[in-house]
Amino acid sequence: MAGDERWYQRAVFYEVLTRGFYDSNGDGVGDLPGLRAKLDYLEWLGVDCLWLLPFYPSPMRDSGYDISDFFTVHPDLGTLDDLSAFLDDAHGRGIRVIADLVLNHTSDQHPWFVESRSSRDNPKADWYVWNDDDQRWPEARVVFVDVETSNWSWDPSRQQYYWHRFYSHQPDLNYDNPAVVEEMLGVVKFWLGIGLDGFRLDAVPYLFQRDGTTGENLPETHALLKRIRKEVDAAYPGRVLLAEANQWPADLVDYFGEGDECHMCFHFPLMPRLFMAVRREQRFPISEIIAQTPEIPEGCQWAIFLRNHDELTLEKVSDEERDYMVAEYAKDPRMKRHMGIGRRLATLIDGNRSLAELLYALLFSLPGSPVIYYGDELLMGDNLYLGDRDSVRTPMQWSPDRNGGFSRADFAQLYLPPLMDPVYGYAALNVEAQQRNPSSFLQWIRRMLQVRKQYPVLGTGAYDALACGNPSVLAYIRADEGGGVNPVLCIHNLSRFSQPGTLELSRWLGRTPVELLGRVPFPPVGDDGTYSLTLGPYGFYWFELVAEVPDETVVDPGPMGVQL
Amino acid sequence: MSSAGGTGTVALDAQARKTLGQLVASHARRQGWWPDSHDEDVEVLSVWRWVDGRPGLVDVVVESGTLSAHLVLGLRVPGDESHFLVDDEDVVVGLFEDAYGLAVAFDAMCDGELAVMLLEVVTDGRSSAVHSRPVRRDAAGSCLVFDDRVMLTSFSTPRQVPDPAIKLIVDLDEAGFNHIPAPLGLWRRDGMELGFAQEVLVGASVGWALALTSLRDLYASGCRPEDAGGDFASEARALGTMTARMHLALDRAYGRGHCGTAVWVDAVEAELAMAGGGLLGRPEVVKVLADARRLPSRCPIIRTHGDYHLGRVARTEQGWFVSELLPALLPAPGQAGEMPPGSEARPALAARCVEEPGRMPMCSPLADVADMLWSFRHVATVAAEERDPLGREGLSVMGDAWQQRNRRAFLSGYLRVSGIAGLLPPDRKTVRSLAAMFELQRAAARMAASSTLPDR
Repeated sequence: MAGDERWYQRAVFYEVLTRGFYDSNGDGVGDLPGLRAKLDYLEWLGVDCLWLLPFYPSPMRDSGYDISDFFTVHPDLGTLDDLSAFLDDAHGRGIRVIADLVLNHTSDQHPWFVESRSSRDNPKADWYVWNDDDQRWPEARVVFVDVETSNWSWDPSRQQYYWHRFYSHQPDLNYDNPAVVEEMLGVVKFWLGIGLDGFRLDAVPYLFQRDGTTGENLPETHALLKRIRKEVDAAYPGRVLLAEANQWPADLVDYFGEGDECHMCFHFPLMPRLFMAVRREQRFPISEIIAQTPEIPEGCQWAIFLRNHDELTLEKVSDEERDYMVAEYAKDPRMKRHMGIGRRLATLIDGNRSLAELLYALLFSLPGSPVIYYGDELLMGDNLYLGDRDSVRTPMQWSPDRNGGFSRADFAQLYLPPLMDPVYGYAALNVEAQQRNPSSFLQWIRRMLQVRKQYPVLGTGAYDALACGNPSVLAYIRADEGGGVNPVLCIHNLSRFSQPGTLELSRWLGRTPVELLGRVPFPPVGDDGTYSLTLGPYGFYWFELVAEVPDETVVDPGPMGVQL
Repeated sequence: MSSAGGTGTVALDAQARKTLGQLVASHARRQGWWPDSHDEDVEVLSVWRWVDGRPGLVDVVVESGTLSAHLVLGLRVPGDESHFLVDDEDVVVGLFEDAYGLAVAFDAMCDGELAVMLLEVVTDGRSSAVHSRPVRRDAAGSCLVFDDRVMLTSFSTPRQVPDPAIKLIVDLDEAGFNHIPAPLGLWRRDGMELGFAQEVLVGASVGWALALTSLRDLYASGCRPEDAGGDFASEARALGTMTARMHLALDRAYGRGHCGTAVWVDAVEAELAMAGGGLLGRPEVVKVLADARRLPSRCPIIRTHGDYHLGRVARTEQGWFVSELLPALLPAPGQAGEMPPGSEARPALAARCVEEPGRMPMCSPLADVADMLWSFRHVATVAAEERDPLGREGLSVMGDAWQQRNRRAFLSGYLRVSGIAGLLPPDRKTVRSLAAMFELQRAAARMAASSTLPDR
């Protein structure tokens, strides 16, 4: 798709698990033709870019993040031709598509690793990281502490240990080997050539290892990412690199480089703090992390999210905060996954629609491009009894029909069982019903996306926090620094109780706040510059601050009894 | 921190001085605090030209008898566009003529453009701003906030250098305590304190409001405080830590002494007697006082805050701050002397302090600690009454659990700070007894002054 190269700064992303979205051939697994068949829905919803979880061949021991061939599509999901047809169709509707790319490691069944482990002197012997003992780099933490005890695993055939930052069946590639770098650059170009609009780069902080370091965020890693960016920009301008780096903001911004590394980074520390703030009923968890977030280079953008395909990760919170979050959001031990909580948005907040609306209002107005996880637009639930992170990867619920309209296969054939409980099951929650109901959550989300599209300043504008004495109120202005468009004032009540908020708006004296969802003008900002509002429980307002309100938007009932 | 610089003193002829004196005096009279009887014999004590030309800024101090007045005049060419911040005819002070010709004189603190110029010169160029807004204008002085970052206060009446309020802020800052709005510029001239520039606590919420938020959540949840989403313990712990740092900074700034505990026990007994209601005869009170009488004779004393509670602290994105020190920079409207807003217990609490010749009043830092502990108890009660005025829901049990949990958290945060033990009696039992006694005194002071007080 040609044109705007900074589209990602205003885009709303939608994360899709292809195998969980729609099964076109009745084999019990969602596939690319199925995804293509549901583009009507995604276009109707109003998302701008789809993010596909890994669709590559894989033994599926880590939901496809254990790739065994980088150059084709998993046969369960379709073919390369299916992918091309899907991309063409999506692009025709103005929807871009990015996909996961795992740079850090492969499956242990990848032919490269099979060859590498076969001897110490084969052509791929140095494509992975090998050592004679398991004592090197002790500073590097074990990421999956609940299932792995070391970053080294013994390979009996080669009689050496191999390095893996994640599961032991996912050996890390050796980027100190130039041949690996070249090969992976080839992978990047291959998929961009087919038509992908970019990549979500999985687990990028760990690409290199150095003595005396934690092996995270190393200069060599940044140098490699800069090289990838340079080659992508040169051959495929307008494509995007989105980094998954679960780091603190000060380290995260390094992944933007000076605007010459990744276009986007996930803002991981913000996500748990959104949930913390609404439970504490005070803004400080959010406002603190935003205050700690450095400026990012021109042309870059954060990706922000409420939930995704992984657990609600609690890596980037203090120990005290982690205990708090687990106590509040994972009261059942089954809800805990790795160092986080394996639940969807709806179940985290006990299905509270007002709170869900508030959280989405924050997601759509805080600095960054929002990422919606499939099914969360319906407030789909989860299944805690499924292993690992499958709890949040159940089939999309399309209708009240068999298997939730996801597949015509026998129930037992499905990749995972659909939800069937009376609260979150497909009979109660599905696209078909919510599309028919004008007051459904799905319709509300769609309306919010329409509004966000009308106000690109919510994506590109500067963030200016507004002081408010009430700790339950979070307010800010999103304004175009050039002043070319009207600023948008966003005010949110993080409490279950109604709250007053008085804002200092003397910079916007005389402006009229026009509420964005209903286009209703509110009283203008008065001479003293203060502006008082009352917000209902978990309420929020988004206002455009307009200099002059067109007459036709002012309600004038006219003389009684006059019929025109 | 250096005093503000500027352009220089102004040589004026007798007529010009007289005109200036009359302009400032008549402005003060229109503000309602300068009596007509002082209009004659107005003498110009000091004239300082901050900014030459037009628009210009002239800083003037006048006196008549025992009264003195301070005003910054903004001088504009007649017909020049002004940028009024307030809708008040007193903004225009009158006409004035000098070497640059005839000018309309404005109260510079009421003109957005002139105020920004004033901020820059008062802070010696260290602060600049685009926007300003008035937050206060009365007989005591006027305050402007610039870009929500800097507050500039201009005193209506010059004060002797050093002003105790400004000195405290500066001393704490120099002692390395960065949990107060930082001083940004002294405004001094000819031995007079004319105003002050200070950081604004951006995005602050008063501790009282934060505690109420937690309690409202608890009372609605009906669970244990540690299970409630709005649990306050981590905040209380951080508040305790900040409080200990304040005490260590006060110790560094003003030193410490030692005194016997008897003086405090006597003061508390007097306080309880005044409060009436047979308090002195209640068994728990008798026990607290008896325990206090048996304490070791001497305890460390330092300069303390003096009236420390949840209404005096604020939470910001940078953590907890002391939002109000005593004495306050500007007394509350209608209050004389150093009485700060909301400090109803202050006169009584002043009796805690030990005054030694040549030194400022000092007290055990446990007095501040006790005040804050009492504040936890008080806010729990207020929140319960707010939700259940008739007391039918049994919220007091939850409120007690809340305040016990947060008292423990506050104390744990306070006591874990390195060095704080040196400011406290050596054993925990004495610490407990002394704190209990001070808390009792605080409660009695509140009772004695409670009938018409706001709820904090």
